[in-house]
Amino acid sequence: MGVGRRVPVGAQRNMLGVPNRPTRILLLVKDPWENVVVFRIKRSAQLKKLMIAYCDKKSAELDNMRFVHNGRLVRPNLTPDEHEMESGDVIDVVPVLLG
Amino acid sequence: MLDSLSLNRGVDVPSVVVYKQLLESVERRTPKLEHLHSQIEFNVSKLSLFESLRPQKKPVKVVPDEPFVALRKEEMAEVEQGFSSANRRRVLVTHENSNIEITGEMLQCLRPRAWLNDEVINVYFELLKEREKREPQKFLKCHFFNTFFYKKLIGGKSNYDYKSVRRWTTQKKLGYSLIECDKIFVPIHKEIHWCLAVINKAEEKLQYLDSLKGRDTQVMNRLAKYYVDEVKDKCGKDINLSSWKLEYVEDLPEQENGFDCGVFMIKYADFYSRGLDLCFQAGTHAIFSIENSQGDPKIESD
Repeated sequence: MGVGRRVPVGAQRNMLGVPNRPTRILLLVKDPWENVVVFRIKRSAQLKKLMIAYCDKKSAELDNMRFVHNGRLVRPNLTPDEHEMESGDVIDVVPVLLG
Repeated sequence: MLDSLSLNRGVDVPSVVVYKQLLESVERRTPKLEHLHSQIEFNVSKLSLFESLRPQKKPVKVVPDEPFVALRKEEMAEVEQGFSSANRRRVLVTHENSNIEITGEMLQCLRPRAWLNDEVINVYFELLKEREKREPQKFLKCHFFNTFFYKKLIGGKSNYDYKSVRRWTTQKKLGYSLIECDKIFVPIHKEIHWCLAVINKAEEKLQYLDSLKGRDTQVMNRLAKYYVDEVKDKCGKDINLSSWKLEYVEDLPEQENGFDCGVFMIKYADFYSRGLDLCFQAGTHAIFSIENSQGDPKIESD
């Protein structure tokens, strides 16, 4: 190997050589008709951000939408980490049901 | 005169003539008596026939008071406060386990003549589950799916997608296994109407309860399929539900207006999870709809 600057390849590692977790994850928001919108969001950002962005995009009212992750309602002021979300997870969005 | 004599045993008969006459008059009555006798026999047999034809009377069950307890004064006041317009925007209750936040706005659907929304139903089911956890000896072991479950299960292109709900019922998530539950309640939403389906493992049947007495074979088929897939996924066992009964419950309290289906639906779940029959009537719904709202302020105070 020549003497040169080492260029980091792959995931960043900390002092112990353990790869850092990426700070952002991909989340798929899927409506009942299987349309998907992909969001890239920080693990530490409140999910409110994603929900508002989605509703803006779809011209929907936030109060009339429910976001569900693995059967549990998404709380707007929690983060993906607090919800134990993984990159690539699907969040279902459903309109309010009345009857 | 002779007739009256014959009734009087103590009288002495003066002559043979009178005696003969007496005998004749007695004999004249025998055919009449025989006729009456046969008529009695006939009627008795008729009676027993009717008895056997009559539908069996159900033993009168003692209806427990507990599900019908009215609210106390201070509870009523609390409910009124929850309904007040000042609280519309405020979050009144946060239910930690299900992440549901109930605002004053949402509680409005518990007012008379309003339609129930999904949040309120989900909280109510969560509360039923917690009630069972508090006193497991008093209630059946049940699982209550939320309102999103069935919609998700029938999503996708093939109208049945087990994979999408596979992770909803992991042991880690629930803290118990779905398979060991006696009853599994699935709220079904039909555009503007709430129904309830029950996977009743204890009695080996699938039940469908609609306060308008509707029927839906598709719901039953999909739930049966779901249960088979779920058992296979979580325990690796193949089960066969072909011996299970499909029951469209006919003998149930019906709604008599256009806005009570939600209340009826959650009350079916309430009574069934107690192991009771549906021993309430349409008239009592007013109490219930207020009672439901009472459940929510309660967590707040806990």
